[in-house]
Amino acid sequence: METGIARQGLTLYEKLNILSDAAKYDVACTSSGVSRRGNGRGLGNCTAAGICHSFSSDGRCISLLKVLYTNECIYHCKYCANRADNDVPRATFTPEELCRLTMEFYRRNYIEGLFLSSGIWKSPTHTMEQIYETIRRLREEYGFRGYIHVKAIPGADSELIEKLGYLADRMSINLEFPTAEGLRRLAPNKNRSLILKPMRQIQNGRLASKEEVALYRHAPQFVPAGQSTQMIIGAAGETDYEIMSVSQALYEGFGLKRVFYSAYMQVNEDKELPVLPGGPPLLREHRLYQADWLLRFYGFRAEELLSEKRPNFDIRLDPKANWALGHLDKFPVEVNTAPYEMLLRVPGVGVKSAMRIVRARRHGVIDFAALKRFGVVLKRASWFLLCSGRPMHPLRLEERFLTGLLSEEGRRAPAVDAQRSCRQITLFESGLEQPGMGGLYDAEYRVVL
Amino acid sequence: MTQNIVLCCEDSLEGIFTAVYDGWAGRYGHENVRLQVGETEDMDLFSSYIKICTNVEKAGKVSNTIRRRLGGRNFAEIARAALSCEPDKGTAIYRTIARGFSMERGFQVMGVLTDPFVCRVDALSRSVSRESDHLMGFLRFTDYGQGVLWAKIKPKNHVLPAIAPHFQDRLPKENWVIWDERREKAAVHPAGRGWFLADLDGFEPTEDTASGDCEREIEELWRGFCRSIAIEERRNLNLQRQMLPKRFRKYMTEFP
Ligand code: SF4
Repeated sequence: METGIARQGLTLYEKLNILSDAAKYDVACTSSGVSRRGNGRGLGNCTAAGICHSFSSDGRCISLLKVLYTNECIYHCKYCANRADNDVPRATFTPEELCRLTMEFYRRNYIEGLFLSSGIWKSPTHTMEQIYETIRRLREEYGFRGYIHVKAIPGADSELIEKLGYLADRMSINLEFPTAEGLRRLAPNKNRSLILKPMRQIQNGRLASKEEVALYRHAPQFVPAGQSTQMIIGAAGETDYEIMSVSQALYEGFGLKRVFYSAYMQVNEDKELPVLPGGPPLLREHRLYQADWLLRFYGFRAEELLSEKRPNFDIRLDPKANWALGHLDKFPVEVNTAPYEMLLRVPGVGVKSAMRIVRARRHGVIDFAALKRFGVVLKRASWFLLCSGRPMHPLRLEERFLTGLLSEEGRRAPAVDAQRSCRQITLFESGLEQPGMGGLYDAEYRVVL
Repeated sequence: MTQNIVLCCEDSLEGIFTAVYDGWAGRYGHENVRLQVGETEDMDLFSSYIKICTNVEKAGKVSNTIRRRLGGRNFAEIARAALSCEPDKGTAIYRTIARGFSMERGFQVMGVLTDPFVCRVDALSRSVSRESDHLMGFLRFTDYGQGVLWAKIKPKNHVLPAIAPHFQDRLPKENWVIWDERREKAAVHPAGRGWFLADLDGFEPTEDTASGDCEREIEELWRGFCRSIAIEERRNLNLQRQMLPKRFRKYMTEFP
């Protein structure tokens, strides 16, 4: 009860401090997946590719005002600082405070919008009501047209989730752990089917809404930027194969837009939790993001990358290089004739490079100089490519040799992954090749054009 | 030996397009033409220099032809490359247009990356895009009271025409000014109307104290947020520097 009293006395600055600190482990800061023009009246729009507004000292992108509504919580998730029995400072926003913060930050171009999550305050439905009221006010009373990502609380009244889905751009429910057993052990108040139920509801809502919109162009859109989820890595003893299989199932079976991975951070001590003397498993998290990438944009399947027998990635290699080393018989690849899908499997060749190669070779024969000129990085790729039957240098398609060459151990700090260039990542997600530039030189820039 | 023809034009889309028009009309042979954009550099003995006077009508014709023959998307890429700070952009644009007009399917011109000039326009346009994308995120407005939001930037390229439409769409009901310190130009947007480009040789918003306090409070809230959202165990300043280069920080609220 003393928390209630303490709450009375908090300034907005202190609340923001507590409730953003409590939200920082939620990974998804992207503001992508939906394109919405301004309407000339309200404040805001959305660009499909998303925009990063800043980067914090951990190198992660800041795109949204990411906060909890409250860090009061009746649950006992073992890994979480806010669990009911922990003695931490508690705070709760009011809808008004959140609306004001969002509007003032947005008009100064600090943020793309709001990411609102919450501890379970009194009950799932009660919590969801507070979130709904905040978002409703922001959209309807403040006329806010920027990006909104909200957490759906498993176990909350499904009608609330439905109503919220028409106001939010993205919704997410955290799966937390790839196995039901892990969830039961580390988050005793949550359960797998309670999490999957609203996920399914949102998926169905999206499908129905897409049909509506196809019929009536102005029908309201339901969660237009899609749903995402998050798994904690390295707390429940799961394998990479289990994780990737779950991700694949979520993409295919639940139509998810993104699965995020969050290296486990030790904030509580508990006999059920592992001790990680080496710090959070950041490199492993990095490899999982790379593999996730391969599932979504490179046409790989989880079974191609891992198996029951080899359930974890070689941490030294990126998963694509790893795959290539196991399939050296498929190389070298001829730049001028190889199918797009095969170009994508060459270590060092990304989606953009592969598309540029395919586009350019319609107009002429490509040699290595041309590849370099139009921006294909050859450092790794040159060991796997031919141009008109010739390699750039003598090739050595031997596993030992190439492993040394492609190994990234110690050479590179684990990168940003989830946030690495929100724009790049989401460019593909949005299905648009380029954000519209028709607006260039428009309005009163009187260029005659 | 054929003489090099150097067309000296103003550093603007209209200037470059006028040069394209006159270059065509002059029948010099496209491979002999170079464009010199903006202030004159060193003269060379064996070239002949022609001064191009920007002509809105000629530029309009070129622009229409590009849109029709090469399509809107390629037009946008060329127009974006014209905002680049690189001195060779004029020639690259000229030769790309020449290449496109010589093709049966001109709308594929930007795919001909094996052509060094097309490849150059592609690279310039991407680099302008990259910088404008950055600034759409990194630019910060300050409300000095008086009902106007001010932002100061110092981009390498002339990005104002590329970013202003975005902010007009986003903040239609606000008066705002984005000032390019390097070029001493500003994009000015009066609430509810279209933005325009203006020469402005100083950044001098006036501030009244009452609104100043409110502004400080919001800036403090933002700075506090940026601090508390970071995860200490993941601290990685190198990565931060890579993603958010130092040159932008001088103008950002959260980097005092
Ligand atoms: S529900 Fe679990 S993870 Fe969420 S705030 Fe409460 S204790 Fe933490």
